[in-house]
Amino acid sequence: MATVLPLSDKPVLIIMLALALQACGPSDCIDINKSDYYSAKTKAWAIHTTIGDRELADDLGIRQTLILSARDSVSYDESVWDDCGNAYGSFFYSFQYNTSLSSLHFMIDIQGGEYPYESCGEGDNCGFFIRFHITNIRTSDIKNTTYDIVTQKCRDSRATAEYHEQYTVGDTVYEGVLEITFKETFAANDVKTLYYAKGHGLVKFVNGDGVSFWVD
Amino acid sequence: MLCRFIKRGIRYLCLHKTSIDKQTAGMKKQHFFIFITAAYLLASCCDSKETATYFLSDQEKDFIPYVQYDSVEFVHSAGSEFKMAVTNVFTQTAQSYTEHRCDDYVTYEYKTAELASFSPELYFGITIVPREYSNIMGVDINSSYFPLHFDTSPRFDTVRIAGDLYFDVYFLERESGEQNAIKPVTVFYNKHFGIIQINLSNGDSFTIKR
Repeated sequence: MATVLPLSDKPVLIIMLALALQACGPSDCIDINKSDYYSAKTKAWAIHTTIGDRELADDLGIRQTLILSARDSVSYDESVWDDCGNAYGSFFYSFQYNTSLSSLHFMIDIQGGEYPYESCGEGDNCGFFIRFHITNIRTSDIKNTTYDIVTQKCRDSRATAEYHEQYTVGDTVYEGVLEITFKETFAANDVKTLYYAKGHGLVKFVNGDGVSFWVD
Repeated sequence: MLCRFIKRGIRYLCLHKTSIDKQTAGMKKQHFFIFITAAYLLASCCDSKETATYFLSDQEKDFIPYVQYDSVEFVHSAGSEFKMAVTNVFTQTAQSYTEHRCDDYVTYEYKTAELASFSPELYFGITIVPREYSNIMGVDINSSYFPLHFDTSPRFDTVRIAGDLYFDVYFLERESGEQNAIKPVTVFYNKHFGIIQINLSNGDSFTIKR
């Protein structure tokens, strides 16, 4: 026997149906202009292929080698689609450094894709970002932070970021340098601040003792 | 203990062999597999033996002159001075490496000294073993390995390093490593001072300050 809804329940049912139908509408379209803008801005941070191992000097007058031990890049033409008929790609660069005397290992990941609908969280791989990962091979201490290129801030509370239009390191003036300062250091030889230049990569870092190491 | 367990298992299988016989003819295959398994398990039981024990002589122990909690001053060729802290000095025994589980082995005593500095970041690790066991003492500097061969005499009866005179000095060369990076490449060592000087591939050096 068919069940007949009481007259008083019908408005509720209509409202629920309306809400459900509304949710089935087309999703937000990818903002192609913003995606293009921030993709170009992010790609500018990748290290040029002409950059290799560099010599490091420090405040103590000791020299060592900053070894660019690995570089990798991947890009996809279409990795996300929307309901408006758009598709957008994504890209990823990864660079690794070792120091020939100090026991430091740096890993820098640069990633971008479509302009995100919502803000990206600390561990998210969305949006446009540069992730810095530092390991002290001797002590096994690890620290990392993610710089968001859209908000121009670190996504986590472990570090602060400052952008310099120009910054001088040794005798070289670099255009576009990111200064990342970590709030905590674990030891005197732990990295407190690092400087990353567009196209050139890591150009300077300062340890917990205040000793500076720079590309010379 | 494992061998005793395996032997008990085999004894159980043999005792119950009669009941297995009473089953179908296909059970004869089981005998074969039981035999093969038992033979394999028995073969894996073995007793490796210690065939010798080597101890360090006092003379060999004295070849590493560092004392725990001491510090040693060094100076870089650019002028900066710093201290290497002697963080660890200990003597222990170890078993020799064996390729197979049942191989015999020897036990040997070894002495290790570790020194460290945060700024600049330097780590020394020196290990000596009895010469009856091996003629090589290992010197490790920031993961670069320098073997000291006792079967060769010290390179220098006397040598002047940074203005100071040293006797019976060994000259150590790095075994392998990246060719292009700035790294330690040679070391001067003697039993009175330990590491006297470390030379880097770019011509810089770290020298003890007497």
